[in-house]
Order: sequence, then structure tokens, then C-alpha cells
Amino acid sequence: MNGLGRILIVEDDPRDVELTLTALEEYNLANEVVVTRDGAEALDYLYCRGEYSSRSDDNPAVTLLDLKLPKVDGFEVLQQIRSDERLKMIPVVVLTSSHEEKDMIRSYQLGVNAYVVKPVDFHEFVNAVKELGVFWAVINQPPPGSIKKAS
Amino acid sequence: MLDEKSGRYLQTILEAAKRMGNLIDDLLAFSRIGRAETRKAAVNLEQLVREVVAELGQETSGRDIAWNIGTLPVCYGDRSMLKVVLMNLVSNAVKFTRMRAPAEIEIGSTDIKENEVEVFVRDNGAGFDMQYANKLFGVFQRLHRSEEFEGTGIGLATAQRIVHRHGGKIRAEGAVGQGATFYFSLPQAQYAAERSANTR
Repeated sequence: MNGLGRILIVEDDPRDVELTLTALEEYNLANEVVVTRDGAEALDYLYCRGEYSSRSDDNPAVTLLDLKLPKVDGFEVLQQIRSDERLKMIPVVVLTSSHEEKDMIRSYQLGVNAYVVKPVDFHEFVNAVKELGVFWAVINQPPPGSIKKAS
Repeated sequence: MLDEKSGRYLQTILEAAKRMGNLIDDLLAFSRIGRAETRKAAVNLEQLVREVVAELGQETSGRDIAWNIGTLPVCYGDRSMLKVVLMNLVSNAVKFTRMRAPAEIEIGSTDIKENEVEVFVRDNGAGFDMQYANKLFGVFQRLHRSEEFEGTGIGLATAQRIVHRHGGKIRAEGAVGQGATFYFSLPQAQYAAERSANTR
């Protein structure tokens, strides 16, 4: 393994944030996690503006994106990422409670890399997030311009 | 004896169950509006507003709220549905002014058109960014985080559905930190009565 990629989480539900962080902590993946609480904040992070204007402008190795979000929803965030020259290669995983086929189709049409329905069961949820974290932050080779810290 | 972590998990479970209950109630109310028949009659909006404010007593007790209820017209509509609209708008005003002392909530009417009444509910609360104004009335759409202001994101969708079923319009104006004003229009009672008399 050659280092840890930064994970950007876009999730408004504080309970889901806590569960996700708990899951990622088990493999010490939580150190490199940034949590944004709505689509507008996620875009501020990605574009290094607002409260994120002073961060280094590398991209996360993966973005875990909820669909139902205050202000700017997940589809809009995804659309903006894919239509921006500097952001469009960022791997994006939709992590949603929506089983709706139309949400899944729309996500793929907008160019999502993976679509994961949040398992309702606690252990299944934790396992799913752990596997996602390991795959995208450790195993996968992120596109150039991503943050990868030596472990 | 539970340790701290387990206690907190139990608390989380209780809160989640309560939120689920609220969500089901709100969704039922929303779906009911789509199917229920409207029973229209002359409705005294001023009286209705006073009922709504009185019913919100539990939420407003201990709060410093300056109510300003103007003269409201008599409109033509389904009384119980219009009460839901006012309940949603007024309880939102109460909710989003939680950090204000005094909170100022004004309910009044404007004369925009001859055959229509327009009612507004204005507050000096959290407000919202006008760039998201088109999203306010969407189902599950929220503009605030749940730990700032709780809610299911169904109230305004329900209000809009009712107003549309009355042939009216609903809209909102606001600015972040500077409060919000919600307007809805309805047919005027007198006009509606004349119209139904003419078509008889």
C-alpha cells in the first residue's frame, strides 16, 4: 500500500456522519476525512472557496456523496464536479438511502463511479463503508492531482 | 448500568424513532391533501390565524415573541386545509426565530388583485438565501441542517399543494439572517360566491 487518499464525505445527517467515521476509524482511515454538511459546503471545499479558501488545492481521492442534501443536492454537486475541468476526474461514490431506480440511473448518467445504497443494518452499514474506504482510499489509484499521504 | 457510549446510542435510537414518527405523520398529511375533497366555504382568515397561534402555545411558551396580526380578509376555501397552510407557515416562523429575542412575527394581507386575497407571514428569523427560493417547496427539501432547525422537509410542500388546489399561488422572500416572508394568494370569498351564483 502506498499511502492514504483523502476522503470527502458529503452528508447532512449527523448520525450517518458519526456511523461513517466510526467505520473508517477501524482501519485508521478517518484521519484523512473531510466532512461537509450540504452540497453548497461540498462545492466550497472542492473549489477551495469560502471557509476552505486557504486549503491546498489538491482533490480528494474519493467523494462519498449523499443525494438528499440541504441547499444543493447530490445530483447538482455531481454535475458540477463532472463539468469542471479541474474536478471532473474525482472518483465519486453516491452513498444514499434511495433505492429508486431513477436516482441510480440519473447518478450513472451524470458519471458517478459507484452507487451504494446505505444498508439499514448497523453492521452491514459499517462494513460497507469500511470496504468503500479501503478500496477508494487505499487500493484504488486516484487520478493525478489527488491527495495521497504517505503512510 | 449502561456506559456512556451505550446510553448515547440509546438516545440516538429514541431520537431516530421519533423522527421516523414525525416523517410518517407528515407524509400522511401530504398524501391526504392530494386525495381529500375540498369542501369550500367562506373562511375568516383572521379567526383562523388566532386559532393557529393559540394552538402553538406549547412551542411559544417561554419565548419572547412580538405578534403583529393585521386585519385579514374572508376568503373562499377549505377551512381545515387552510388551517394546515397557516399552521405550517406560522410554526415555521416560530421555529426559525428561535434565536431571536424578541422574535417578530407579522401576519397580514396585501391587496394585489381585485378577486384575490394575499396573506403573508413575516418573521425576523434565520431567513434563507434567495438562490434556493425555488427549492423551498420541494418535498424533503431543507435549507438548514437538522441540528440547527429540525424538520422533515414536507411542511412547505404540503402548504403549496393546498394553495395550488385552491387555485392560488405561494412564494417566499428572504435573506440569510434577515428573516423570511411567505405569501399565498386565494380567491376572495365575495368574488367566489358571486361566481358560483352566476354559473348556477
